[in-house]
Amino acid sequence: MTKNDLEVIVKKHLHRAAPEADLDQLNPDDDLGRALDIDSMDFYTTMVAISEELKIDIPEEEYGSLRTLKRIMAFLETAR
Amino acid sequence: MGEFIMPSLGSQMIDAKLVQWYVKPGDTVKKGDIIGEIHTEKGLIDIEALEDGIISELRIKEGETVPVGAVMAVIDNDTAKKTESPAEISADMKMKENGKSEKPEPGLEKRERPKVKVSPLARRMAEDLQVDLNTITGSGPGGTIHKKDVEAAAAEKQKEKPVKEPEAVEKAPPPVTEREMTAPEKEIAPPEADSMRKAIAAAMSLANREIPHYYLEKNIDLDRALHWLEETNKKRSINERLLPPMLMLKAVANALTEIPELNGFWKDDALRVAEGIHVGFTIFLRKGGLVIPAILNADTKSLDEIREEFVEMVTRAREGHLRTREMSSATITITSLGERGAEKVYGVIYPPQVALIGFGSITRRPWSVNGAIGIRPVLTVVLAGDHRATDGHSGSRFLEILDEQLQNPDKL
Repeated sequence: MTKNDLEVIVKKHLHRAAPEADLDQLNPDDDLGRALDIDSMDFYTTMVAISEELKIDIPEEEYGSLRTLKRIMAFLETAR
Repeated sequence: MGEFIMPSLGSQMIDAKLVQWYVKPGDTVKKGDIIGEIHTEKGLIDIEALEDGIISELRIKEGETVPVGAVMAVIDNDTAKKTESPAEISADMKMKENGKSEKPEPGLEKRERPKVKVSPLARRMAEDLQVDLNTITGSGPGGTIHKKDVEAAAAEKQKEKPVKEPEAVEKAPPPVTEREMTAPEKEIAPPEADSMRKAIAAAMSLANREIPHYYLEKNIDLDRALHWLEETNKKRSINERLLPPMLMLKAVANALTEIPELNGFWKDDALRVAEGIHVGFTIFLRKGGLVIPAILNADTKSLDEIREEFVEMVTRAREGHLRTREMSSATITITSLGERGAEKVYGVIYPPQVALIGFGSITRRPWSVNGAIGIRPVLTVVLAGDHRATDGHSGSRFLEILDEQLQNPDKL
């Protein structure tokens, strides 16, 4: 799976959480909660969905830091 | 033989549309099975069978809109417990039968008004046109008010309006600023959220009109609770992760066991303390509006059970698959603005409930720690209480116990 494939999957799940948001306009450093107006529960269910699809567990130590697309991508790339 | 009727999810709800049946005649259903989906002012809701049996007849067609109380299906149940059949069908009626007689919906009284008979269409129209049904004499059998009676009354009302207004407009058109201020009024509500907005407006107007609210607030240090969460979550995989709102919900349920007078309904000029602690929590919908499903008997459930239901309900709320029982059982409501934004929320009680708990965002603030100043994650909890039902003393004790609960997260 390429980096691009990963990003497609991540964005697919972000789109489910925030269907009306234009993800192409999303800056990789944007705080996702703020940029997409998703609350902690939506953020959580999104991360669970990503974790399940990619079969990658997201440990507690990492969870708190995964606030931006860039951080999520960096974590998934090292963890896969 | 039991009849399955269109349930009520709030007194403002007049009718709902059957979107689809998930069952067909001959199917065996168990109590709690999802048998169909309805479209209501609260969005798409799954309807659940309230008894075991075999579907013998589906009386309503998909796409059909029927009033609350209309028979939707007939369920053949072998058990000879015929006596309870109508009561078992509707969650609200069931509660009444159990002697709890209270129902978490606004303005129940209105619906029960026995004096005037009104067709559902006329009732809805009267609401839209703001016509008081008590002032109308119905032309139908037994004085039943029909659509045309409401129309006539509305026309009459229009005539009675002082003619001053249009005259004033003719003589002196309002300055541009004033016109600009009034213009958007007609355009505010997007159509899809319209009926939900109306339902919220009706419930909240009733609350502000009738409930003498009192507010108490308390800052709670969440340092221990959040550390405990972090340590607990380290031992769990992500799909078993606990989140702060789950702890808060459980803490509320536990505290209510000690202050039961906040958990119940104001009905017929008296406080009816509810038997079960069914904690409703607001879920904001992206398209606008909110829904408040309840976790039933939250005080008797473990944190993990609450976790599971919480996640499941949030997920289902997004997809429009909340269930009738979840939507009509809350005995108290929690509103939480999430992790960002406002630090406190002064909520409006959802009638006929008698209390609402508002959780603000958790923020790091200077805090007195062992005689020095430390920085702690602090949560401001605001309790809105119905002063007819309780006094500040009960509310204050509740907040104190809630704090204690959150200081001992391992015991939740």
